[in-house]
Amino acid sequence: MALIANSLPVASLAEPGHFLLVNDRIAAPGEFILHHVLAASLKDSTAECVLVSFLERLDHWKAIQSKLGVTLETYATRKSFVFVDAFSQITMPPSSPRSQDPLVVPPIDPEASVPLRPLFDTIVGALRSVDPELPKLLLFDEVSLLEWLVPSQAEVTRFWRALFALKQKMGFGLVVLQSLDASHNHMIEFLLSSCTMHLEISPLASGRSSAVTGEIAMQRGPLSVSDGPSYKAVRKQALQYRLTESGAVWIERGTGGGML
Amino acid sequence: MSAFKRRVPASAHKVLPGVRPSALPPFHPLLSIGVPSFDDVLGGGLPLATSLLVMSPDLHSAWAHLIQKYFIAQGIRSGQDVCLIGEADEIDEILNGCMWVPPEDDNISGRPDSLTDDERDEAASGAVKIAWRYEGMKQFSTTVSHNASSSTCMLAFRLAMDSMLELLRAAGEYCSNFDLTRRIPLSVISEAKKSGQISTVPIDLNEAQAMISSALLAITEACDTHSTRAPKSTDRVLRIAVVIPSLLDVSSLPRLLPLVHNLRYQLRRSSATALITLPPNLCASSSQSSIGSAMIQLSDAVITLASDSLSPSTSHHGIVQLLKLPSLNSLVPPSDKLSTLRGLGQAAKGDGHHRGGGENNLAFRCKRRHFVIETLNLDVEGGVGERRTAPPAAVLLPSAPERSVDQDAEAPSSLVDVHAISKTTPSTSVETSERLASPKKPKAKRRVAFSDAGGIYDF
Repeated sequence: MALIANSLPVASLAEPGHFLLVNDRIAAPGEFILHHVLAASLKDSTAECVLVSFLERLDHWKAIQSKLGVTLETYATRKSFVFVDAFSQITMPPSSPRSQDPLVVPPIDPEASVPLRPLFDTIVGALRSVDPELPKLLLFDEVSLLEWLVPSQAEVTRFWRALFALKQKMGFGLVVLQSLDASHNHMIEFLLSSCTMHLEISPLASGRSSAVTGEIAMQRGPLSVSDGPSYKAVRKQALQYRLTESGAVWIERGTGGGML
Repeated sequence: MSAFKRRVPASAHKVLPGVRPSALPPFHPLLSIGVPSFDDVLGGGLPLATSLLVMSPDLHSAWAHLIQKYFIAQGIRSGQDVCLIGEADEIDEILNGCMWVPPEDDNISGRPDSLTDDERDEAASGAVKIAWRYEGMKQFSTTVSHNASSSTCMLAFRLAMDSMLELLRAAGEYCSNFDLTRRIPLSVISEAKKSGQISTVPIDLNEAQAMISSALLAITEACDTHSTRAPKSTDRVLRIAVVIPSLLDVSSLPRLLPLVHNLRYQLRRSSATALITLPPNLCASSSQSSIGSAMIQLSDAVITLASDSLSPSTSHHGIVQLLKLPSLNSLVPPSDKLSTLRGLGQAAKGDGHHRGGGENNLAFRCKRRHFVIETLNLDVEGGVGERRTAPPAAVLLPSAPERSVDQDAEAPSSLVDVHAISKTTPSTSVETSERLASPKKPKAKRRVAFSDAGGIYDF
């Protein structure tokens, strides 16, 4: 439990069974939340992180994490950080040569009977490669792409259900970034109904400003355990943030928090 | 000031023709679109390894294709490789319709400081005596001019970079001074095609399945030859111009997503940039839909040139909407700090506090010789000044009791309070008979005579 001052409390996120759903919009991207979670988990050694990225390469994550003070290579060698590359091969034509690296997701073939099986298997492999004793955190960067790569929504729902079952079995925390603009409504509802914590990032209604990038709202999800560790914030106003090179600066709405 | 010289790491990207490093660390290489104001909005140019999606939802104009032509023409002029992907007829039309530089700029390569035609005229007549108070101020400008954009780097940075700039100037121009009245010479196109500088990948719309994969393979091949890691890569930058065919309908948009996603990956691993243009029929339906947002998410920079041909305006041809700006390896797009047109960078100056200013509204205009993006400024009267038409018939002068009848015809220069009209009727009942003439016809058709042309109350 922590007040929102200048950091987001992440200690409770890696508790087994937790699922933090982060919804963002095109005008207010939510990648910085993942960066904060990743940096805090690695720095405080609270969890081992497996990151599945659909939109960017490892270089991008390394560059931004270095601005937050985390060198991903050292954690990677220690096996407390594993990067699953779901970006390079996933949209190649199915007949193209595949990479031998077990952490690269092979091309998704929409014609296959279970198109998302290779992705699931790669994730399982990555989770098994970290130390089983320590708490684990699985982060997904931008899952709305999945809905467009497979012909039917049922496949995507099947994938998520399998992942939730895996979460119960292996006991890891889950953090998923989903764009409200780019996802179908029923996928948004599906993930929302399964989360324990919901974080919504929205842009300012009046447009872009140099002082405030957007607003953030955090609620307990439908599956949150009432007596489990939960996040409570004592605040009187809506919470806004401003993106800087090294993450977000939190501002309470109406105050001069980030400016003075 | 002289002691302060920013050191640029020596290994920072070999000098490629037509490429300039960004003004902020980590000094990522930038390409010019060909329009100086557009480059400014993007933060100096389009970063290498990123993609820009240009949408133009107006069905009656082709602004996106115009930007595409600038992109291609700049690539040819800077000596970079250009690859066009799209339907055969469309890309031929775009390639042959590219603009070119005027002859005087053509012979002297690398002289970005030459004045444009408009600026030459202004400079000639610039012998006006200005009041001493305003002499120090620079001229009012709503856009970034061509010669200004070649020196948008900060001064201290420039001191250190001068030698590098000389090298760049010799290698190939960054942003050429294109003239819309000139067409690209056919000889240049055929030369470039022969030498392999221009390559086209025509897509056959009839093969529904194979269309996407053939485009994918072509992109992969092109990026392989320009890869940053391969030992046999060329020393040239690749510009990929993707023209989504206008004949595609909305239902085929989902099939384009794997192409755009894979293009994103191919760009990241090579020294290439892409400009994707969506045809108007696909833009109009994709602005609010989830598939459109998915396309936007997969591109690094997204800009919409929204013009309304049904109700044109005299001061601009359309509005520029920046949906997304390139932020390679960064959470915050460098354009926020670097763009003078957007006006956000000013907030961080001075004592480092952020004053909460919004960004400028941007509009674009196609002048006789240039396409410019400029700030959209409302007129002095708050924007209504443009619509100077005759006033509606029901507007009356408020006849205040103190005023004499003669003054009713003459207009006060202050604004008319329309709501005061209803208040005149009860007050004038106690007045003298001379004044009873005016309230007797409360609905009389009176012309509101202001000092300038027409009335400004159109509503």
